[in-house]
Amino acid sequence: MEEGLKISLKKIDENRYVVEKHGAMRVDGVVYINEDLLRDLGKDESIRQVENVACLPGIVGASMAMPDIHWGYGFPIGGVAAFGAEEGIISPGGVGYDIN
Amino acid sequence: MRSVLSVREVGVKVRDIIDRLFINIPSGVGSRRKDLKLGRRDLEKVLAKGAQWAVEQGYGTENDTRFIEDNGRMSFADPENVSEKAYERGKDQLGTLGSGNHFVEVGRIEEIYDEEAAEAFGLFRDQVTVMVHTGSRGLGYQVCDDYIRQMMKASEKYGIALPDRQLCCAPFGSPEGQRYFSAMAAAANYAFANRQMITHWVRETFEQVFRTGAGRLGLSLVYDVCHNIAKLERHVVKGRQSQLCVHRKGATRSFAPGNAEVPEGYRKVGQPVLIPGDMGRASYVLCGTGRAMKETFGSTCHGAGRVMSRGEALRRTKGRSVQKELEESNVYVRAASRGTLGEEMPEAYKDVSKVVQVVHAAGISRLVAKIVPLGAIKG
Repeated sequence: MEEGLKISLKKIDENRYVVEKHGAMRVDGVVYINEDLLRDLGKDESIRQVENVACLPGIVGASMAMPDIHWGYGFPIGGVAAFGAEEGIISPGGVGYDIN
Repeated sequence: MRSVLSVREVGVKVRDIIDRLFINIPSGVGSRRKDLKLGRRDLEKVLAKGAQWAVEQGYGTENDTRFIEDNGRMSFADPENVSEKAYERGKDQLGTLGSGNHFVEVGRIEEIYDEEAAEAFGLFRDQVTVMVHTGSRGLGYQVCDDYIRQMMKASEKYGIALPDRQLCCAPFGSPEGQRYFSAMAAAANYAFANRQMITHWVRETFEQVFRTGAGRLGLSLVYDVCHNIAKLERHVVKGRQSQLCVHRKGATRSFAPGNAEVPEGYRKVGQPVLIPGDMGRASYVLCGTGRAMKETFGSTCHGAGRVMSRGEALRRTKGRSVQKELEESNVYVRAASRGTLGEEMPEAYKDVSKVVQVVHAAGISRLVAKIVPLGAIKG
């Protein structure tokens, strides 16, 4: 992983990392991953995508990703994001091309 | 799907099962059925009723739908919000596997981690299982493509600042948001119907090989779960019940024991979570947890996740026979194209065992069983 990205990821425990809210992020990013799988991410930009999703209106909790995270269209694959039904958004990129 | 068969009873018949699955379930890029061409009216019904349409047509039984997320039908689907182009792509692809990471895999339960949950799901050591992975095919792709274009405009209209244009979106309650939601649900119903038909052909395939009824082979659906979806769900946020639009992209629902959405027979242990791995290594069955409800809106991982692009995997498998390599490790694979096999080679994926270890240790789902592949058909 790129150095810059690595620095923004902070370890919560063995299986969880956080990207603390900064800039336009409305909530934290939380990635369920361990050190070993983090190495596999290499130059993948998907952690940046977790940050981007955290900027969207109405997001609640955290912008999350699972250990199988990898780059996807807009939102990372392996991503979970919940938005308030009243103040939040819906995005086709958050679902992906292979619907269901 | 589970069966009552143990791996000893199936033995060398695995090859026969895979060969026949390959005949009975069209696969590959743009795969279509010559025997089943749906008219516009029929397709509208598929989009409105999902797996329930398939059952009405004689594919599987009413009982199957009890074991599908949302009973195989998203009620707010609106077939009218699906474009003509999407209909065109969908009309002869229903009941097909497609290409990419889609597959039907025959496997064997190698290990049970949680006896109580395994018993509830009807799983036992050395049992023969079948896992189906496919989605809404070209129709769903087209729906996504159509609405991304509309959402690019909607984001501007509603003044939503986007760090990346690919995040284009609309307020959930806006006309644009609701149109996409209902079209997405229609595509999801197409996917439910698609898998329900494949479930039926899996049963027929086993009937042909074992020359006895699928009922006697105990081929029943353990669970069918979405992996690319947005759902309207109630969750607790900061101590308050809230209505949320939960996006799961390459992620699956992982609802806790006691949740009303979990089939009655499983309610004591939690919703089954199915995690397919690559062709060579393993797949896992897990179950949902209370911690997932608290931390991840009842969500967990979906699969292994790629570590290598399709292009890189193809380059690395040039001159190799992935099929032969898999056969040497006793996995018999039939694929519509050599290219897909290269792209989908085991090393192109993360080790799924490491992935499930994380979600298990983090407590957002719990390990129930490990399945190792015996054979598979690929697109």
